[in-house]
Amino acid sequence: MTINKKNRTSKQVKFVVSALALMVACCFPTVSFSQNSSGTPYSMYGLGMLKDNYGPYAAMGGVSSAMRDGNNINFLNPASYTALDSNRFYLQFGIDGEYVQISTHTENMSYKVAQNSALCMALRFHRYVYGSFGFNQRANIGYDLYYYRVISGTGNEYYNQHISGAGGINDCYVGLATKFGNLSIGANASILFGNIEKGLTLTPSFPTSSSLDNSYNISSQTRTSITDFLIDMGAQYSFRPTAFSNLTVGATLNLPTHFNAEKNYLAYKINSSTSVQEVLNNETPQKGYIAYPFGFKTGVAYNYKDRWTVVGDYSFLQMSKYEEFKKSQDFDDYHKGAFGLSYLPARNGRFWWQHNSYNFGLYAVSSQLKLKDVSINTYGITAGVQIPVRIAYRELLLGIAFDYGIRGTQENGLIREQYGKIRLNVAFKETWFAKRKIY
Amino acid sequence: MHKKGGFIIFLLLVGIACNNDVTSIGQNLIDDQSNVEVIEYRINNTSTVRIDSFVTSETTTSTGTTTTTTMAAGRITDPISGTITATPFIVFEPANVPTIQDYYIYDSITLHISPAQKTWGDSLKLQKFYLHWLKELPKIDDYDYTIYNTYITPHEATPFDSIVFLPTQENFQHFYFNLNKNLGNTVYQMLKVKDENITNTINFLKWFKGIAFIPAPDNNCLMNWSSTSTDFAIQVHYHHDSQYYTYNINKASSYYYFNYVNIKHEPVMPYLSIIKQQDGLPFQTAKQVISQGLNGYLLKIQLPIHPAGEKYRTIIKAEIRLNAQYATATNNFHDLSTIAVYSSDEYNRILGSIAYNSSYSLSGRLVKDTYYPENDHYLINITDYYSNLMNNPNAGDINHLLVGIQSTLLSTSFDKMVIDELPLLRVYYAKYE
Repeated sequence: MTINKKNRTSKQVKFVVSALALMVACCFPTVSFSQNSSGTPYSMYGLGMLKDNYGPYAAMGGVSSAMRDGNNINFLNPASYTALDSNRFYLQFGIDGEYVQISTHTENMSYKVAQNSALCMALRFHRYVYGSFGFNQRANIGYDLYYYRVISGTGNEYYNQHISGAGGINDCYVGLATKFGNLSIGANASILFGNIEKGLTLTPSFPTSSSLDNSYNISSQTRTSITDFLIDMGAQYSFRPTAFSNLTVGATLNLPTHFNAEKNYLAYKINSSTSVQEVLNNETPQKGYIAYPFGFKTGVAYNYKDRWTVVGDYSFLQMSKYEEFKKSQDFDDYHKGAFGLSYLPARNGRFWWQHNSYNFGLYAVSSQLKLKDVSINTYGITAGVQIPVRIAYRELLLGIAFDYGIRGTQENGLIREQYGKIRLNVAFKETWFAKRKIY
Repeated sequence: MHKKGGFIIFLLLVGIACNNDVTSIGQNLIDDQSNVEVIEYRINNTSTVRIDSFVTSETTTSTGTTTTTTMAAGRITDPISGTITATPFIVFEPANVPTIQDYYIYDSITLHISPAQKTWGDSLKLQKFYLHWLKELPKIDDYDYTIYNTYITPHEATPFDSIVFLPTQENFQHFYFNLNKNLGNTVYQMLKVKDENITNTINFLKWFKGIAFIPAPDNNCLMNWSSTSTDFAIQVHYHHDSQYYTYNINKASSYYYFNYVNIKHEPVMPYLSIIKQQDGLPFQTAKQVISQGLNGYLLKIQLPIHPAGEKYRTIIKAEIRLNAQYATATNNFHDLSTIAVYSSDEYNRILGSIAYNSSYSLSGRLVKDTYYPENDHYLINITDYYSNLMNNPNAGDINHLLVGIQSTLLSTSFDKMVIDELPLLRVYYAKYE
């Protein structure tokens, strides 16, 4: 028995080391190279695209406030950790793939993106304390625009402008939760860090019929580095209004926070004939803060006979108070409403398909962006399935979610994006803390 | 097995990741405001000035080659700028005196010239030049061995000979004119006896001195004559039986600095008012400004001072546009194809060229419109110059420019540029933050 215990411990160590290595591998491209994991031009504002629909319940419209179960790590509401199995170690990671078709009233194109979206672990630390730690992404920027404009004061001279952006905000968190009867409370402490790099190249398009016709192109880069902490607090209250039903009310909130930030700016001009560069601005790093606003989520989940689950969620982020280096960005507040439906035929049914939960959802987002007097909204429909897989010494829950949505509009010359996303969520439940029984 | 499967799925998804192409979609999200603007300033302080004296004698480079290959000769009246009379003063230099036997027979003495390919004015009328002996060698500046356009070497009042020819392009190869027979006999005898006045160059210069080629008062054509020594010679011809010989006394090459051109300018209104080099005729008075060779007219421009000013705004291009007067059928003077730009001061002096880069000096070029010749204009790109000027706290003192014919052509070319609109300074500013 001693040998078996040693073998088991060795396997656990190997598993944790592999998980940590996988976490680093997933983090590395996004963190080190500020890889743009988004191609939407709408990400050029503020911190970029906020995550509209993510987490383990992406197939249900991304609901999270009132969701709690023993199979998924719902890192979006830390109070849900108390629903996890006290004898299990959880490892969960998600991968998103996205195909987006962008169009205006005159042209269209597409792009593809794939990224690791979250990696987290959870376990019970103490009799009454559950915890989770992991990594995910709060926001990302990725755009690359090339266009021309008429030179003001002329009718037939143009200049080309190329703007690009890459980077995002990463979230490395540690969360704890405890339970007082039907009430669970928890908090995630996150280290938010990331770089946002924005570039601009301005190239006049002057006709040159002589090598003595020189002009200058302009190139500039802005790099904003953010590192700070954020606390997300959560609470859930779950009770049984009837013998066959369960009702959960949940909420999370974060207080307004100033993220320490440092901005570096470099601009130079390049002679179009000789390519000689001359520095225009090489400013000393500007230290300041990003004013991250107040936000909260609330939701209700109703479960009937462990088969049907109906969920409603509302999210709010006071983006009108968002500031960068004391400068308001004139954003609107962010609102999201989501509805989710889940059906589990029979948890212990005879057939494999009866064990799966089939999910469906809808969501609508009124984002912080208002361009040319038009609000940029997102509407999405989701569907998916969670498939439990029982294997030796562990359980695996494989979640597949499909998300189809429309963001923006072609009105007023803006762009509309039609996207299709697929998310794979894999959750392992390890039996590390289960005591062996001797018969 | 399941872990491996999950990892493979992860790799597959990452493998198709991040296909983000550069796109032009989304430009309408960007503010319509243009980040580049051009601001035009009329250069009100524009005038015509006259360089009243300039070097017309031959000079050489550091390697010893002569800088001028042509010289102006003739007389012409331009209805805009007035009358120019260009008189070459030439000295000759014998070399390698031959041995002439007693039985050789003298034939003739001729003047050989090779007028260059360029003319201004009426080339279909006979042009006459009177040849006058110089009374003395031309006086040169002891410091730099130069002679200016205004200097006249004393010469005999009565010409000893004259030459007449039609300066058409077909005739502009080599001309041979018979000169005075007495002169020829004298020189021939000196050659036969190897007189020291012909075997010794200095003595020859002192004895022969030189010839002034004075255009007749009714000439109406200005020419460029080749100033290469072998294209300008007095030739003595003699023979024995059927053998014919020619001895060339070429234009001086060792004493090149004695050769120069006197240029006399008789202006007409309104340019009569320009008396000294410090005087300028404002555009607002004459309604035009001109630059032309031989009479020394150049444009004087004082650039307006408009700094780039605010932060994150810089000059990306600056140019001066000069609208050229459309050359009509009656105006057959050549347009300048390139124009020079010099720094100047309040006294209208040429202070020097303005470096464009390590290889070129600042200059302008004629931009011709094939379909609308009235749109012909000169463009001078002054991007770097103007940017540096605007960053100079003393910009108001150093913003003087002289624009027009290159100084090296001032003594040989009658090309001109007539500008009948105030010059325009166009500055392109870019905001980049």
